[in-house]
Order: sequence, then structure tokens, then C-alpha cells
Amino acid sequence: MTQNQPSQKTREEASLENCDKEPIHIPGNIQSFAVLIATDEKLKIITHCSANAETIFGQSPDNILGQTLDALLGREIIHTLNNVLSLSTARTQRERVTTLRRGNDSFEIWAHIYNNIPILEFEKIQTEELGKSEAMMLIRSLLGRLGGIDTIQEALSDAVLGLRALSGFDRVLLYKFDRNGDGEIKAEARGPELGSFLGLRFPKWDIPNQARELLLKAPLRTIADIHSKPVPLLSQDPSAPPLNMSLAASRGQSPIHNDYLKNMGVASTMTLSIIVEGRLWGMFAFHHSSTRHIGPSLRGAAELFAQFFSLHMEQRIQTERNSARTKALEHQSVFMDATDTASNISELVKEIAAPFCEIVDADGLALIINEDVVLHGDTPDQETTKLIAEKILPEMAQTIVTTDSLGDYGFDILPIAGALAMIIEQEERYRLLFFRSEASLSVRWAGAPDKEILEDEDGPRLMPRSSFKAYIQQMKGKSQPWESHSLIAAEEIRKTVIKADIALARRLSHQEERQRTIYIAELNHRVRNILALIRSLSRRAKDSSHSLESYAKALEQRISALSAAHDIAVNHIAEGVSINVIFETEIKPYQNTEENRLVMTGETYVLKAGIAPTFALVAHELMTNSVKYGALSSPDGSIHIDVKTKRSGVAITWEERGGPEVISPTRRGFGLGLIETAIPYEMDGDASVEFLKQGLKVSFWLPETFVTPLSDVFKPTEKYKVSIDNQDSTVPHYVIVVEDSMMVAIDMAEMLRSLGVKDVKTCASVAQAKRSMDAKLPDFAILDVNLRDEMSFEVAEYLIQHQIPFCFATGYGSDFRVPEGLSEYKVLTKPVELNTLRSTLKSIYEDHKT
Amino acid sequence: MKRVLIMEDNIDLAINWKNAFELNGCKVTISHDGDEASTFLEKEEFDLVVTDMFVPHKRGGLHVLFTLFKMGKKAPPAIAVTGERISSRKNEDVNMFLRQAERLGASSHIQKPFPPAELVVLAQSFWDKEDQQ
Repeated sequence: MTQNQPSQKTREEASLENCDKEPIHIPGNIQSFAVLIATDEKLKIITHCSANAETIFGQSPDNILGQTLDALLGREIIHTLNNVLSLSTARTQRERVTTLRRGNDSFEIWAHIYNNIPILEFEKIQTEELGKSEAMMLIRSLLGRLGGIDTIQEALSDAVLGLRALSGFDRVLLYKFDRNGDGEIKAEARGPELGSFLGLRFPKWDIPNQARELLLKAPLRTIADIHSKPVPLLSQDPSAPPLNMSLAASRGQSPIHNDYLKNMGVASTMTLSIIVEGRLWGMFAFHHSSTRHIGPSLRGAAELFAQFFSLHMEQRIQTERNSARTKALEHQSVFMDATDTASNISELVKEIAAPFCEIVDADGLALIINEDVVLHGDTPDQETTKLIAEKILPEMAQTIVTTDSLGDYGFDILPIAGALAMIIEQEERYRLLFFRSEASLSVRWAGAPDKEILEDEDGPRLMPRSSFKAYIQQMKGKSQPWESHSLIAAEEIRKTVIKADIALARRLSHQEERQRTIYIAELNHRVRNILALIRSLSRRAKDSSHSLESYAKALEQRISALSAAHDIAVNHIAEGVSINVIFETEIKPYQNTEENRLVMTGETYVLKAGIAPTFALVAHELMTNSVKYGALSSPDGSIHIDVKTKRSGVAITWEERGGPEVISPTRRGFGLGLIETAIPYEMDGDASVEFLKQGLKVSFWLPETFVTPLSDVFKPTEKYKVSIDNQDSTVPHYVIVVEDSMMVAIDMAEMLRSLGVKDVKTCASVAQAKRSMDAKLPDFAILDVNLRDEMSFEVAEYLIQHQIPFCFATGYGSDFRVPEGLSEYKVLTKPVELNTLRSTLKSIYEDHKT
Repeated sequence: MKRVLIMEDNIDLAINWKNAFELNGCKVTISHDGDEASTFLEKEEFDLVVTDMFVPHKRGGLHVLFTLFKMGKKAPPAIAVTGERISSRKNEDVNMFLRQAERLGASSHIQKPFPPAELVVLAQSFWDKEDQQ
């Protein structure tokens, strides 16, 4: 997570840079409470020693420099020292070596290696106010308390109280650093000597960057007495680079820092870093109004506590994060569920925007996808939102970017003041932004936050503040800062949106695949049905033809009509087919271009594409009958078609005029049969034929379901009667054929009769089949699986209940699977061959009988 | 908001008492010895002092009570806390010490161990009396 700030180099920044350059790790001196010695890399020759070395060793520094360490400390200590410096930790922290006795005094020796240079520090052992065991008891008690504390604030308060009791310092403060680097005093324990800093904020430049780095490297830092004179560090080779004392406890203090402490009224100080996840999370600062130096044992106890405390904080912060994460995840399932119905990510985000804003503590949200912007709540307008995203969100940003002051980026859009932005998906340029409104904020600074800058030969330099008196600054144009729980929640939201985006893409792709499969199956079904239809047409053409030539002609015309109707259906599949277009297409072969023998009146209705082929066949039969026997057989004859709304449907009237006198036929052929039955059968409509002397009159009625959007209108169909042919005692007497395609049903009925079935009943729907079976139970049934808008499984269950044998027939091919529970029943694939039907019928029927 | 000064060298106990008072809306200052507590009393105002009587190696409760005694009528009520049984014959020194404490102005005394809430109840009774007066 980064707090992105605009870059603008100022004199203030130059002074801060100069502060950052102060070489505090190589001060060239130490504090007087210790003696420091450094040797060559092999721990042989003493290369550096502090000017006060004589106080312990009784020799002048000049004598000590160049001497072997062996000679100065003795072989026994060197042996221990070698062991200690072999520890892996000796390069990252100071390690205790042993106690050195000189006369009546004892000194603790601590050692470490920095940049391959062994460094030894000697510190006189003093009588501490608090014994070692008492100190450890106190630490133990404090650590025990931490486990039972509910809030972080309580833990901070207890910690400073405990450390003050341990150290005896006048004041112990806990600084918590925010993401800008400013520190705020979150807890304080103090005696009466020093005033309170509780709640005050210290600007980030109070602790320069290189000091922060040292606080990370060496978590404990002590300045025993700001008034004491620094002790110079002498070198065997004055031209050698200065000794790096980053880890040394006695490292000399910075004069600027000294002035800072002096202005604070502090004479001695100690700091303990609180390092959480490798970062400087905070710091315990110990202040004393007079000189105070605590020995290495107590310092060690305090350091130990700070380490445990850091771990404890890490755990608590982790718990807080988990809690924020859990809160965000609670909405994930809702969001993911929404992917089942949404068609794009914008729709999804809109749906869940309110809870997203709630868990991020935001007032508004914006989703940018390429040029499109979806807004929710309090946000800038779309164009400004895009500009904000471009300005604050770096290209390829991997992290969440926040600002509590959009004004810093030149956006004067109050009350919107803060933004949190993240990239969801780079390629599609998905950006998600949260916005916060301006908050009424005031900051209590420890002293006026204006920097006092001094110009010297090195350029501008910050002067330590002279006052730490509370200075209240009202913050304008700022939102509440984006806290870590908001960032964690935002990170979870990012993951959720990415996940949902993927799920959505997968679902849409799956949906396309499924639709493709349905289209293929449907196509297969249609092809098979058309083949069955053609076979039926060919049989009928054969029956009504007396020569091969007339058979071929009749067949060709019927197939052409079917083809024309099919073309119409396919070409107008989306919008359906006009009734007018069908009649106009059918008459075309029988009239010259200049003639107008078709007169159409009334309204224009559009047929559903699915029933167009049937209607086209009816029109074709009417037209061919008229050409052969009716109005179109006469040069002056004409056809009058009227279409009008009637009884929740459409009434179509066909009237022939100007033709020869009509004689009622003695025998009903296929054409007339089709005209009379197709529409009632396939469309639940009506058809009536009147052989009027002046010309044939045919009236149809089609329910609105086939010409208008679906409705519940249902009209009883006329029953199709078939004549009885041969019979065979080994086959069932009465068979029901449930088939929505009339042509196929007729064909099937005829084949059954040819096999010896006495009575065949054809039904186009489940309702018809049930009505028929209620009236009379069949001996056998053949069920087309897919009836117009329903499946025939209900009929199958009815048959099973009544123990009537049956089989399925389907145009879906051999891949078709009936549902579980019906899988034992045979499935005939359309078009059904006579032999297949015979063997299937016999085997099922005979099995059933036995 | 009542201000309470606690003088107790055992930080664990001091924090427990502090928490109990803070739960009841008080502002609490902790000091670890008699000298420090006395300086607090000289520099800041308090509505109650809770003082441990014995602090090893340092001046303890008597020093605090003496400071309060010197403050006269301005002195807030004080609760002396002792770690030993007052009625025990073996602790004549303690009894003498407490009698001394009462003479110096300790409004009450309480013997460890006790639930921190008891301290608050005791404190409240002083404040209620003050309010009635």
C-alpha cells in the first residue's frame, strides 16, 4: 500500500534532504558511559579506541592503538569473545561477552561485528534501583497482562506504565507512526517533572530517514546525558574511513538531536523501536528531566519487552486485518451469487456497491471500464473520475493508492476530498475507485508545524523546534485518512471483483456453448423431421399420381413449396413470417408478373417462424387445388384472402372467384385432408371447407399464440380420423401416437395400420393424449419426446401407471437420452422405418403380454 | 471527571486499580513512590489519593499522607492500602503505622487483596459525602 503524493521539490524538502544526510552513524565520538574498542577483521590489532579507554585499562589510547587485543584483555576473554562473535546474531545485534574486573570495578563487555569490523563496548556495572530478578518479574507480569487485554489502546497504555515502572524515567511515550511517517503519542506514563505530550502529533521530519533506518537496525538507543562532552574515537590510521557505529550502544549523539531534546526539557533519553512486519510501527521514548542512565541489564529487560510487544502488536494487527477481511468476505458470496444472473461486471458492481462502500468506509464508488464509468453514491462526475484515476493511479500499479487530499492533485471538487484507487484488470483498463467526503479534522501538533530553516555552507537545514506546546491545526479539504482496515477490505474487494469477473466470463462462455449445443440438436431434429415430411409427401404424391411424370411433378411442387416456406422461415426467423408473404410466394409460379390474381385484404399478421412450413404447405395445397380445379384453372379467376382479428386470434378467409362451378368431391385426397386438418392439428386452430357453387371457400382461425406473443388461449383440436386397413392378431388393437408433427403422425398411423393395428389415435399434445387415454386406454403407445413446447414424459408416466407398453420416437438422433427412470424404454429414431417399427412393436408388445 | 492519584510500586496492581477507576469515568495518574506522588500533589489537583503504605527502599505512603496533612483542608480524601492484616497482634508495628496514617489524614484504609471495584465503591462514598456537604 502506498500513499501517493505529488512531487514538488521545495526549499523545505532540500532542508529535509540535508537533514537526511547528517552522518549520524559515523559521529567519530562516543558517549561517556562506555569505552569503545575496534580491531582489525581478524580480532588481533586494536585499530580504534575511545579517548576515555585509560579509565578502564590504565593505559593511554596511544599505547592501546596498535596493541593486540590479546595483550589488552587476556586469553580467557579473547576465547569467550571469539565464541560470541561466531554467533550468527553478532552481525546484526550486540551480544554480551563477559564481565571484566579491574580493581574494585566491574565492566560488562558487549561485542558485535559491523562491516566485518569487530567492535567492543565496555560499560561499568552500577547498582540498579531494580534488581535483575525484579525486572524480569515485572516484564513477566506485563507480558502476562497483554494476553488478557481487549484493545490495542489498552495494551499501549499498560506498556508505557510498565516501562516507566521498570526504567524509572520521568516520562515514557508511545509514538505510533502513520503512513506519512508522522508520529502521534498514543500512550503516555509520566511523573510530575515533565508535562504531557499525550495526543500530540510530531511531524515526520523530527526523525530523519537515516535515523529511522538506525532505529530498525538497532532497536534500543540511549543518550545518557545530552550535556556530557562527547568522547572522541581515536584511530590508529587517521586517514582510514570513520568507524561505522550503527549498532553501537555508546554511539555519540547528533548535536541537532541534542538541541531538540534540550528544547523539550529532556536531559536523558532512551528509545525502543516497535518493529512490526519489518517496519517501524512505533517507538517507546523514555525521557528524563535530569541525567539518567540505566545499565545494560535493565536495558536488556526493556528491550526484551519491546521485542515481545512488537510480536504482540503484529498478532493483534493480523487479527484486525483478518476481521476486516472476514467482513469483506461476507459480501463475497452475495457478489458471486449475482454472477449467475448479471451479464457484465458493471451490473454486478452496481448491485453490491452499497455494502462495498460500507466496508471500506467510503461515501461513493466508481468503476471505470475503458471509457465507461459506473458511479454510486457521492462521487465526482464521470469525466473527473477518469481524470482522477489517470492522475493518482500509476500505470501498472500493483498496489492500492490512496490520498486524503485530492486538492493536492489539483482537483477542486469538495466535498469529495479523498480517494482510494486500484487497478482491477490491466488490459481491459478496469479501475475501481472509492471516494470520501471532506472531514472536519484538527491535528494537535507538538509545536507549530512550520519548519525553521537555517542556511549554512551546506545549504538549507532544519532547525530543531523551539516549542512543543500544543498547536491545533484545522485541516481543510481533507478526508479521514484511509486506515489499514479499509485498505485490507479494498484489497479483498479487488480479489472478489477479479474472481467475479472470471466467473462471469466463464458463465457467459458456458452459456454460449450450451446454446450452440441446443441449436445443433434442434437443427438435427428439424432435418430429421423434414426428411420424414418428404417421405410422407412422396408417398402421398405416389398415391395420387397415375404416371411417373405426374408423380415427379407433384413431388417436385410439394418439395418446392416446402423449400420456399422453409426459406421464408429461415430468412425471417428472427421476426417471423408474414401470412401475405406465404400466399404471395405460393402464387408466383401460377401467375404472370403483370397479373394480380391474388387479392389480399384486412390486416397483416406475422406467423411464428416455427409453424410457417405447415402453413406454407396448406397454402400450397389450396393453391395447387385452385390451379387444378378452381379459380386459378380459369383465365379470369382470382383468389381473395381476408385476414382479420377474431377471438384472440386471427381469422383467414380464402375465397375463390371466377372459376368453374364447384362440385363437391366424392373422395377427400391428401391436399384437402391437409387443408382441413393441418391448422387444427399443428396450431390448435380451426379450418372449415365449403364447396360453394361460385367458388371454394375455406375459413381458418389461428390462435394468437402463433401470430402474437404467447397467451393462454387454448382451443380444442379436431380429431384426426383414419381408416382401418389390415389387422394382425399378434399386434395391439388400439395404439396412440403422440406426435406434434401432423405429417409424421399420419405416416406413423399408416405404418401401424399396415402392420395390422386395428385402431390408431394421433395426439399432438400431452393434454390431447391424456384426454384420449381417459376416454379409452390404448394397448400400446408411441411417444414423440419433444412435443411443440412440452415433453411427453408425463404421458409416459401415465402409461407406466396403467401398465401400458410404449416406446419413444425422437428426431434428436441416437444421442438422445431419456430421463433416469425411463431409460429402460426403447427409443425409435425418426424417420422410423417400417421394419424397425414392426420389430420394436412386436418385441415390446409380446414381452408385455408374457 | 474525578482525578485519582494512585501510588503503588507494584505496576500490575496499579494498572488494575487504574482500570477500575477509568471504567467509572475517572482520570488516573500513577506514581511509583512517595516522593513522586508528593510532587504530583504539589503540582496538580486530585479528587482522591490511593496510596500503598509500604514501598521497599523508597519513601512510601506515610510520606504521601504527610504531604496531604500539610495541604490541610485542600487535601483530597485518601485511602491507605496495606498488605498486612491490621488486627493481627503480631503486626503491632503495622497498626501503629496505620494509626499514624489516620492521624495524618487517611480517610480510610483497605487491606490487600481486594477486588479493584471495592476501591471505587469506597472512593464513591467519599465523593457522595462531599457532595452532600
